[in-house]
Amino acid sequence: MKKTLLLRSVFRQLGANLLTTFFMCAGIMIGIAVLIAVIALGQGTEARILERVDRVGIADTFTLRTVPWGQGGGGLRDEHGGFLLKFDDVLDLQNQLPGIAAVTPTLNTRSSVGANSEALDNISIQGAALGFQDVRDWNVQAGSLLSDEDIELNSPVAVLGPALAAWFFRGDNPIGNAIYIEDTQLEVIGVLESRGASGSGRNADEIVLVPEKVFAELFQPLGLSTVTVRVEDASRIETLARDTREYLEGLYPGEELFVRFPMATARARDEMANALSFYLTGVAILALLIGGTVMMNLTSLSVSARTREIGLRKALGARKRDISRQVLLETVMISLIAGIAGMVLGYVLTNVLAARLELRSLMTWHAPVAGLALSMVAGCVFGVRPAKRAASLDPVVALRGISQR
Amino acid sequence: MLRLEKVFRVYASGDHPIEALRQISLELPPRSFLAVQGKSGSGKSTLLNILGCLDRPTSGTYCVDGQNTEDISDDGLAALRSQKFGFIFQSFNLLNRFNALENVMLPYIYSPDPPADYKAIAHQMLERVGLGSRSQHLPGELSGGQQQRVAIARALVNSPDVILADEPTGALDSQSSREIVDLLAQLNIEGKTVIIVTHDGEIAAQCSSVVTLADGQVVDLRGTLVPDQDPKVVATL
Repeated sequence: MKKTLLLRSVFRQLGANLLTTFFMCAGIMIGIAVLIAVIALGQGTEARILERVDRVGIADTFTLRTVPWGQGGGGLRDEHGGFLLKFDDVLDLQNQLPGIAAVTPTLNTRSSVGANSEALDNISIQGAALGFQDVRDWNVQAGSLLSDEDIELNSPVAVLGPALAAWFFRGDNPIGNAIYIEDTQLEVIGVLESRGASGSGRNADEIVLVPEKVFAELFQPLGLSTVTVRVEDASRIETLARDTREYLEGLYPGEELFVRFPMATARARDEMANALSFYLTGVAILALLIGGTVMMNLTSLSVSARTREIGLRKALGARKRDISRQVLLETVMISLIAGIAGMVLGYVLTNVLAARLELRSLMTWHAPVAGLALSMVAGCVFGVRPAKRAASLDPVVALRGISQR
Repeated sequence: MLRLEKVFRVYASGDHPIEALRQISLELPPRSFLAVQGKSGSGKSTLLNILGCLDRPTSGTYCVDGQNTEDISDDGLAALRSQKFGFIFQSFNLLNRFNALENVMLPYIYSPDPPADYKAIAHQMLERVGLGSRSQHLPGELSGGQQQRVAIARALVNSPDVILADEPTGALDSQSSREIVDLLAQLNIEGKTVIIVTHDGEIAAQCSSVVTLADGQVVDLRGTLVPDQDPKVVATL
């Protein structure tokens, strides 16, 4: 058995009709590409969740508020109608309830803001503590967000909502310019992306984000409406959240507190990615099945067209298994080519999808290896039928060149 | 030694089975040079297919070198086709995408134990049929006679004992036909058994013996199978 000669036969056959070979490849190629994209995007999403968990321990935090979510920002004075938690009570939580690792107050109020000799009243000012991005996604369209150093070192900097940036600076670049809150000068380091009007009717784009200590010095808060609590053992987070709420409600008789788990929010946000993965996996499997079937039928067709050649090969001493091996080699070779092309296409597709849908992608060796393995499996599975067909051709009839059903 | 004994080949075809061969008994010693004649449908090709182990008798026995083909597996028959027989066809059956040399090397794919210098041997065979300078040509670039010579070189690479030719000159002009028959005669002189199916009386006349078939039966047998031996043909009429 001369394998080089057999391979030459296979490649000559595939090269003889490039268009047919392309169509044989296409479906499997698309299937593998989509599958690789799904795996990469899925891993990226998972990595993003895990990273967030890693960075701020978001899996073990919950947030308490004195007003329900969706009803105003909650302030530091009682202008919103809700009650306020005393600082001491909040900070004392750690001593009162075993299992609480840390308590982070969320700071939010309204004030006048000035810049370029202009001023606006009643603008939402938010104090940012470490990990503030994880309670809510903050994205900048220019400049940068508050860094951990800005927050820890009490830097006199601010990030502007896009509506404020446009109002104060009228198309000029606000980065590096000064704004004033209560006569304190702050340097603008970034402009937020637009979020549009919020449910409460206030414009979410009219906001200023400052480090928490800058906020505390400015406003000397009376109390807190929002608190983020981190627990030591994430598996007990729900029990602890209930205990914390009951404890605080005991301190403020007649008042009600609301709890939210940011991890759940993060998960919900990534559900889009999960749904996408689900449908894309369906598309990939469908493409693989269709592609495999197309390859199977085109190979069957090419076997029919080659009955004479197959008869000849049998006359020259080919056994049934030699013939089926040759046809199988063709389909495996096709799917191997399709698999490699699919890997390249999958890489491109992943990057395009990640950019378009603002998803994170993570390309590891798993996806290409799985894709290649799967394409080989498809080549074997869908090659069996035409291979058997070719092997079962009666050489006497085949040599006459009449195709058999 | 090829020996057919009361061989029948019946094709199932609806209510009326077709008897393509009826009670053929024939003994071919080594170095036979036989023409098989007969009208189309007389069973010539069926006989050749059975002799070449492409087909099996429906009943009766066919022995190759004393071994009953009934006892040989399909794979065993494939090995026989590879090593014992060389086939030549009316339509050459060359692969159009392969050049002459590649076509000649084709049988090596199925040789159980191909020689290391197979390429050199294939080239020798092309030279043997006078096409050493055309080894890189595709079949489409060769004349009919040249294509048939490539096919003969292909039939020879595994040094078979028996050459089976099914109307080898049917698609050729008279000049090329003569060259092909001369080549086959030469192979017989060199020691190979050559069996030619033909309806051309001139070609049959060049063979040392002629079997004529009609309706699947041997109706005439002339000549000696091996030039310098007494006829040993057993033909049951």
